[in-house]
Amino acid sequence: MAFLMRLRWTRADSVIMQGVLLAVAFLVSLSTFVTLVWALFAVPSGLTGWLNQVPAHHTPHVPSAVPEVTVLADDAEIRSSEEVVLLFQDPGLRQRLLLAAPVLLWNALALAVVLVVLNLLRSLREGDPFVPANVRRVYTLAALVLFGSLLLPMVGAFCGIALRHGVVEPSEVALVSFTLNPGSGPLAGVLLSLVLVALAEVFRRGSQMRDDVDGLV
Amino acid sequence: MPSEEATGIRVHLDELLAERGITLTELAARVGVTVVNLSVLKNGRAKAVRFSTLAALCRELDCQPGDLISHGPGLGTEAEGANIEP
Repeated sequence: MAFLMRLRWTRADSVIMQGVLLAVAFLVSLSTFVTLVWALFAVPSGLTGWLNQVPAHHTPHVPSAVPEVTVLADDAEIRSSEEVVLLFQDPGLRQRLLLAAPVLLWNALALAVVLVVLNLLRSLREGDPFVPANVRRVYTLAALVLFGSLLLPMVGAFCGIALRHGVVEPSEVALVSFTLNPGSGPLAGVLLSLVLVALAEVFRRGSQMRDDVDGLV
Repeated sequence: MPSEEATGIRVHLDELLAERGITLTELAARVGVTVVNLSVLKNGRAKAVRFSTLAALCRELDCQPGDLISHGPGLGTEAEGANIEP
């Protein structure tokens, strides 16, 4: 016997998704507020430990200790990682701004995406999603994702370089480090933005088809 | 711009309803079209009519398509009918 699963978007799904998006918007806004207060008003850095640290990679000639983890299997081993975390105990204003910039930029992009998706959801609730406004919205989402996936790592890298200048020995910490695989930042973002561009084209043709039958009795 | 002005197609549903003594709501129920859509047709805002809808209207109103729809000069076409002097 064939099993048929019918997927259908109901009003409850709209309400749940709207709730989730509003919760995300609230958390992102809260994070933005906390980050701005921390950066501008010299809130003790101990209260917001995740903000006053920046990841880096040490160069291969720097010795790194292997963590003392007991390995039970014969064919497995523990290796040390080249990743390090540079922690600023009491960052000044310039350092706080450099530490906060990538977070603020990420929050701004996330908030923009949430607002666009909320507007898309509203048109779905009103029963008319294939309209030119939604074509623009999906293209906007594609641009935000592409912009974010390319710009965010760059901003993070520049801020990291500026933060490490004069703080660590240049020969011991990599200037820039990145990985290229489908799951890593830029590639995943570029692929997702291409998917969104294709979706925008679907909306555009749907809008044209809707226009063709508008006024058909 | 209403469809009637753009295309010159006129729908005489008003007159036929009055002649037959049927309301728009009754006709919509008999034809199987929503009152909203039939109102769009009556007010000259329809852009297209399905043959099935046209056939059902002719059946219920006991008329021909030519009784229901006619064509006259549309917007901007009246100037084309200017007399040409010999």
